[in-house]
Amino acid sequence: MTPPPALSVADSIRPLPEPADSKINRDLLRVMEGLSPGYLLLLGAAMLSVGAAAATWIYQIYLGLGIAGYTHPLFWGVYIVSFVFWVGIAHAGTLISAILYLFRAKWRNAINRGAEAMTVFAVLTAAQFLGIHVGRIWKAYFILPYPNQRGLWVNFRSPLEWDTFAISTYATISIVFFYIGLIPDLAIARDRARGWRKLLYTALALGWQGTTREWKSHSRSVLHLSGLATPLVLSVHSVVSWDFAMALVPGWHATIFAPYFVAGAIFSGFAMVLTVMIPVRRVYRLEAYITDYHFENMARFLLLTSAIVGYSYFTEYFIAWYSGVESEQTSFWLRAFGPYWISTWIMISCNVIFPQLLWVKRLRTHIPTIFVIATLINVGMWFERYVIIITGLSREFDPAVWGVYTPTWAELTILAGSFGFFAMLFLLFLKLFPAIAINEIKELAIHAKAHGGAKVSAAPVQGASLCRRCWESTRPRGPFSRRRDG
Amino acid sequence: MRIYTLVGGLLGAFTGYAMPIWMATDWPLMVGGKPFASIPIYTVISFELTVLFGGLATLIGLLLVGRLPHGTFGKTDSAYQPRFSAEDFGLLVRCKERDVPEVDALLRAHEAKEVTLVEG
Repeated sequence: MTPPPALSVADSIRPLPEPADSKINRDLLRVMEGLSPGYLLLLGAAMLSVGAAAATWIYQIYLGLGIAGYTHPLFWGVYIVSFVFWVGIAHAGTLISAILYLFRAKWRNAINRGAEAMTVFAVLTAAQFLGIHVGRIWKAYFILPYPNQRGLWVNFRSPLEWDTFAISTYATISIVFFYIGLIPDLAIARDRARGWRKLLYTALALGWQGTTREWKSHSRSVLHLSGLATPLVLSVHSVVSWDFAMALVPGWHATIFAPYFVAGAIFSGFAMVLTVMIPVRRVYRLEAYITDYHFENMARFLLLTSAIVGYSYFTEYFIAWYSGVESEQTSFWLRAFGPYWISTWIMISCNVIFPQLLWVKRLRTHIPTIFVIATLINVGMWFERYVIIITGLSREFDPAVWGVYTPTWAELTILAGSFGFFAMLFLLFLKLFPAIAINEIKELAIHAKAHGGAKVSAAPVQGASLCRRCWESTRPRGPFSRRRDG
Repeated sequence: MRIYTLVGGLLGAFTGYAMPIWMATDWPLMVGGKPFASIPIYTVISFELTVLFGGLATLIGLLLVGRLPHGTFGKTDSAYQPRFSAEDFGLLVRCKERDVPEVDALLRAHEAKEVTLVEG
């Protein structure tokens, strides 16, 4: 196998000489080999935008949040919008890896690792916005309940405090889940690496040798973490939504916020997974592993969550009218026809109208269409948070304090930098760790071989979750059975 | 393995209530006759800490039950071969010197791809 014509910094990972190594290992480790000019260009652009954002942030620390357009009455702007946006994106990753694991949806195995990586990177990106939007970053640690000589404790009644616990829990658990899932794949990489890569993978793989004891404790811990992560997904974005719902601001103080935001998070997260995985599959020729069936399933998720989000928009408007509360009615009327009407209509068209095209099977299975719609959804979901936050704050109860806000260059640079940061982390991840969960693909292949017959395929049988024979032989017998499964 | 997650989760749930309650009573703020420690709100904190401590306890359980990290750094067991992380399965049978022929015959009878004697 001739190496690709590129820089050889990342080349120190090679499969075993044929025929010892399996096709799956070869194909999926190939993603990590070599650095093409296109890759370096993309990475360079991402790092440049991160640098620009960092410089802007330092400038903002020096001059204050005024350069971020913060003025009375709007003291939350693009930074909070972006924070909620990135946290939302993080949730789809956990849904795919944890929730679909509990449902035994086999099709998740190919996109699982990429989605988990996306979760970790999105949470890290979101966490930075918390520091940025505070302004006086040197006081940001005040939000932690640490003992101090002033005798002060934090206000646990505040949703911002719940946010602290929720986001730090989510970041920690995502990283732990990501790492635990990676251990067996790191062992595969360790056995085939040389040089600095071998050192890295040896350290991270913890001497994994795939013994029964190791595998048993591993699958048990993945099961438990999936069980823990599932309610975490629901709770974290609910807590983030309560940042708004616990306030009295018209348009914010509604009980629909928790399910509305969670559905929106899953919606934007799946869109981002599609936006990222469609080019990755194309560039690295992974069509045998991430099939059109996977993308069609994700498109179905987009359709479902688009319907929920659309219904939430309708409910908000209906309840605002039905309640007869003048401030609510004014707030929602102004969303559609006030100074921010462009953002509102972008939001509605990108989130509700365009995804309806996915009802048509021919469009749902056409990958470029899915890519375009997913990108539009990303844009639309950012604008949804923008509309909620900015229109809420700009038009509160007393018309004498109404104000208008426009994002400034500082905020937009940092927003672009956040996309660059996310892209940079993901690109580095592609070259450092297996982007597709090798062991899980092997599980599918072995399963297909055992039951499907001659053709060994990594692609799941359409519609199959767990075949009846496997289920019958492994399910526990009775509530107090000592039979261990999984 | 399950016990680690359970203990971690229960510890988290308890801390999630105990910590804010203690802090609220240590620095009692007057909120117009309402109780110093607002218990329903602490359910949120408790839930998050349940997941956090449960998850970390699961990680610790994985390391302890799975006996990871295994061996010395950079050295795999003498019986381990890299092809076990490809498509082959390996079966390690520890036996006494005198049982070697019997085990060898048993493994070959079950159509082992390759039977190797490893010392130590």
